[in-house]
Amino acid sequence: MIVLALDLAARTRAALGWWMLGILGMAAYAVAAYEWISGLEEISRLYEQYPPALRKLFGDVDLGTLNGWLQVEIVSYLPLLLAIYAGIFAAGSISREVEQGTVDFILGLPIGRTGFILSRLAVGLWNIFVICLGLFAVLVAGVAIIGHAPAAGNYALALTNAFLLSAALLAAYVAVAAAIDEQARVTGITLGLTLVLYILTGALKATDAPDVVRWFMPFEHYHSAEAMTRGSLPLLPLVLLPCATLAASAVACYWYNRRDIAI
Amino acid sequence: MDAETGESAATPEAVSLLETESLTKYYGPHRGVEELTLSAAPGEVLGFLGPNGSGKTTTIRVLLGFLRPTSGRASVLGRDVVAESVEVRRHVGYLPGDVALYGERTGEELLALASRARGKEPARARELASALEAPMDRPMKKCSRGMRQKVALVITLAHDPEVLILDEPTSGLDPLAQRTLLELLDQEGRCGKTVFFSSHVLSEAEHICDRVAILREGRLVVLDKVEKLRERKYKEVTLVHSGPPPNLEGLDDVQVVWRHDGRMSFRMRGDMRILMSRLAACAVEDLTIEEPSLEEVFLDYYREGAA
Repeated sequence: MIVLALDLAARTRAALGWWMLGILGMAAYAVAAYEWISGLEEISRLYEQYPPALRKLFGDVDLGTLNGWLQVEIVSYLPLLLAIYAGIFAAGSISREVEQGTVDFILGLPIGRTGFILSRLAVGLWNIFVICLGLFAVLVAGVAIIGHAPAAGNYALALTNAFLLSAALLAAYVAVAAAIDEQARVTGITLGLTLVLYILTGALKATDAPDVVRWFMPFEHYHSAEAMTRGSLPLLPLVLLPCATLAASAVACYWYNRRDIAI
Repeated sequence: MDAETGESAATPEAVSLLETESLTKYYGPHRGVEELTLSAAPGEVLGFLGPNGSGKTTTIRVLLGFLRPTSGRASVLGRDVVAESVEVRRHVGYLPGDVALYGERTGEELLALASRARGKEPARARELASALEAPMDRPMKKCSRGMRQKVALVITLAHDPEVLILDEPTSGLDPLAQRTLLELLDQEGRCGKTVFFSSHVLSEAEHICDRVAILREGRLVVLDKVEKLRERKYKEVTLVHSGPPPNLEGLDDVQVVWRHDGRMSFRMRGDMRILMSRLAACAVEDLTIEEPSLEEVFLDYYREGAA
């Protein structure tokens, strides 16, 4: 499994680099842009006029404050970006292997199917962790550069929540990829699902839907606004999201072990 | 099971390194392979023949644990291919029918990956790469199909596996490389390794196989030594004679193909000594007896099936 994971990590390094360039570039831009809007009262009033569904998605924060600004401009939708990455990664590292026939080379070696799936999960988790770590570094360094005191603890909490949520989604998408062999189909399903769930989360929040319904929305378990502004996180996502990751990983391994691999 | 097959398969060697027993695989309602029973002994080169769609690749994929049998069982080196698939693959060199390797990786890198996964040094890699002229230092995306096939063969054979399972190993190779590979497989057999390879190129099997198994529509129609298959089939006899033609009445399984002006051609099987004694009584000027090629044997089985 370690051999496979190291190989996959090496093969996905370039793609990870491009993703990091994009996400960290957005974060750097958001930090730099704060200098231009700080002190503008209109910006806070403008945010208050946003549609309720959007405000619920981005979080009830004061856009005029540094942490409120960073929350809205990058941290609030980070799990959406990471979930898109997770979907593309799962399709590319599992379904594509069957579609292109390279799975025959890998599984022709003394490697179990569980090891194959876990190696994909491990690299996916590592890559998401690296993106989060990079983002943390950019936020801390960027904020210090523009002359403010970085709220490193708040950033760390928010990014931990983002990582846990993305990990759960990655495991779910790996389970989808373990069942479907066409890369394009898996990419379509996971990206479509991500967007639907993200939009639905905002819509349900705005309509004050029952808690039990909202509870099933993955993005409902992202509390970055709380982390960024108050420096705290509820306990539920810290327990629930790792459990969801483990459950989805088990489903992925079970399914991949039972199925035929026909090319 | 076919009576002919039953007889052949009932000559198992003392130890079988590769064995299937009533192996059946269905893809939903579609037949892959049915009731396949065969075995291969140490040092045996077993050819697995049949046209496209006859179930060769299905069988190989079951042996490697890619497919789960619908019923029946299969084992390699005494290990069940479902329950102990990883252990089976530790001792097997497998070459897929359609070789696909990571495009950005070179042969050396892929070989290193395979060696780390096996936990075994690729002791024979250099020798094999040189014999097959495999471009080990080139990224796979810059290699032709034949080159990728050569690299895959080096990776398959480099760790000196006890059993080789090869799905159409010569496809995509140039004639020279094909010959080198067949010689190599022949040597592997002589070194005591079991070689199980599928092909639809019958001349390959004819040259190196100890036994061949012929599949038709997912079922094994025959499993026997190449010579025995030939013996069972008709020999083509062409005779030039002066005087009266020989008396062929009473000989078993003789079919006269044509007879004209002191020449005759007939097909026969059975004891050639009886034929010779009949021919001794006639003035034979020329006599040609041709053994059937494996291709003719193969086609005969298919004609029988179609009939």
